[in-house]
Amino acid sequence: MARQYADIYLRGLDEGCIAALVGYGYRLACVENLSNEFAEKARRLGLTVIRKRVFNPSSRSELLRSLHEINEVCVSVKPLSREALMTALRDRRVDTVILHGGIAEVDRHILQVWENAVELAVSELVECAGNVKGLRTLIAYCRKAVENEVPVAVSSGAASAAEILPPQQLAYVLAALTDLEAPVLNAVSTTPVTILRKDRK
Amino acid sequence: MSERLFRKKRRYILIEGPRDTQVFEALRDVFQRLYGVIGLAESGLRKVDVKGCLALACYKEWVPKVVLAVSLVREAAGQRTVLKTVKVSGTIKSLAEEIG
Repeated sequence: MARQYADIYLRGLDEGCIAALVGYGYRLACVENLSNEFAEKARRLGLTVIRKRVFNPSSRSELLRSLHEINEVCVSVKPLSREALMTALRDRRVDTVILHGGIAEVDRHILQVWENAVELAVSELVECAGNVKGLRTLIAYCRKAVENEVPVAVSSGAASAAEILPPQQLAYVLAALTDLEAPVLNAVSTTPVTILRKDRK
Repeated sequence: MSERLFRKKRRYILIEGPRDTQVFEALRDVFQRLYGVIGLAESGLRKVDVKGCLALACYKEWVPKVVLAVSLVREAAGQRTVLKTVKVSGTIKSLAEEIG
């Protein structure tokens, strides 16, 4: 059976994005600002679209307050503090933790509570490409995740159709950061598909 | 090690996007910022023209790193540019067939 590809993070969806996603062979997408009209258009072309909520909490209580009202959406957290990061990594209501340049450094305490999948968005990688410390931390998370068999999903984080990248290209991005030679295709297929197909009430 | 002493396998990466020569310069700059001059030399990164389209040649073990650099290019010749890979292949002929 052919692989199902999923882009787990798009900031918006329009006709150009739908055409690009279908053209690259994506079957699933997760969109932050989603209108019902485009969700229906995508569905007619064989692309299942799921709504996404992204939180940027700077404390544990702020994150818990945000998670309290969540229903039927994919929840991603971009933690702005170490405390929020540790809560996001272990709270079952969180689907993915978005890695970014300002994330707290990985250590044994973080490894102990790390249960949720992490998400590497290319848009975040572009933002922190000039920030050596941020890039080092991000690479450390990717390597630790692969080492400890924690699921990693790679997404484009695209805000427009031009920024949507083919699944193989996304898979190579993770391979480059983890020193692998072959593209990590599970990061754009099995892992995000499992996250998005999760039963939500 | 020299390619003439131990034959290293090359891979060719077909790129979708503007065919401007400045695109390759932008890509090489990003790659050099990430992996340095030694990386640039060891990767064997160079530009290849396949039926008028931009393709990159590099040694096999450097393919993910080159694709990472391709993904991080956001500007070329003062214009906003996003580069996408179409195909990675061991032969230029296969890339030419992809273009049709």
